Amino acid sequence: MEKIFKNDILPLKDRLFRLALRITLNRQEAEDVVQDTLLKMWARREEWSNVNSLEAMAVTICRNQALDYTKKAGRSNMSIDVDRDSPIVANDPSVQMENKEGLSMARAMINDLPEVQRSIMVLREVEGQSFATIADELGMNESQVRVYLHRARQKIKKSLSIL
Amino acid sequence: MMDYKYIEQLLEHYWECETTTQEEQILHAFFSQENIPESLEKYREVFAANNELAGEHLDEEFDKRILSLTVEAEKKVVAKRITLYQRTRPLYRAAAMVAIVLTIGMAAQHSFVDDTPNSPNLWAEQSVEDPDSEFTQLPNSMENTSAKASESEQDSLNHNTVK
Repeated sequence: MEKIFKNDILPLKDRLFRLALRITLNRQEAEDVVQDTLLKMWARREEWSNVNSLEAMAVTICRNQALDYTKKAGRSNMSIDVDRDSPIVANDPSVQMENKEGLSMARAMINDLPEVQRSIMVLREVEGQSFATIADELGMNESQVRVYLHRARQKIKKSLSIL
Repeated sequence: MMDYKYIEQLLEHYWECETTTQEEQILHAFFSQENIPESLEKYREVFAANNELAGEHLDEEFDKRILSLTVEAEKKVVAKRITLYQRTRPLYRAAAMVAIVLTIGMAAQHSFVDDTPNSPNLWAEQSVEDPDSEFTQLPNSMENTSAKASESEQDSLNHNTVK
């Protein structure tokens, strides 16, 4: 149990953190969500042998925890994480400013998406997971995952064409 | 220009959700470059926002905290397992203390009574209401006992004679 937790479950923390961050849009809350998720995974260790994928189990718990946090905080779909600093891409200060503004707008577009579309975008575009894996983790079929992702990308494309 | 056409084609497939994870990785790698044609520049920040999220992670302190709350907490519980004797040892100690206190108390009371002749002897008062009368009655009772013994001896002799 200890080995499985250390080798297979704890290393999922960063993936879970990124998913939680996209849902809660708050670093501290996202960290709390991951902590709660891992503690729940440990508490339910008797179930590990009965599940097909520990990762899917962890992602499901993490998403539900993150949704609980956003519900408790009274916000289901915040627009932008204003507290966070953007990474510096170029050395020129003017380019930095442009990048920061552009990145903020891109982030705002993504963060404005419904939660399920944001979650699917993280799992697909950041974690590089297959539609089958995402479907398993989010408890839906592959077609639904494709439809949600298609809607998300179309919305972003539309927003970019307006700019 | 060939590369850009390929990228543009990939982008069209991307918006329609028809790209593989490998093709999406190519797009992410392309848009993380500094030199991008102006026509594609507006898409850069969407991929940059996802790349930025991909760099998010939790530190080692988080791992330590999680392990202390899960695996190591479990170990501590196991280490605290003690035998029945160890668990009840405080009771034995308490009982021994009570016995010692009682013994000392009794001994102190005895010595207190013996060493102070003028103090009232409670036991004596309870058992003998009038010590003088007891002493005066003692010879009489001895006489009675002697007389009864003589009678029973005489009876016994008579009985043997009849036989």
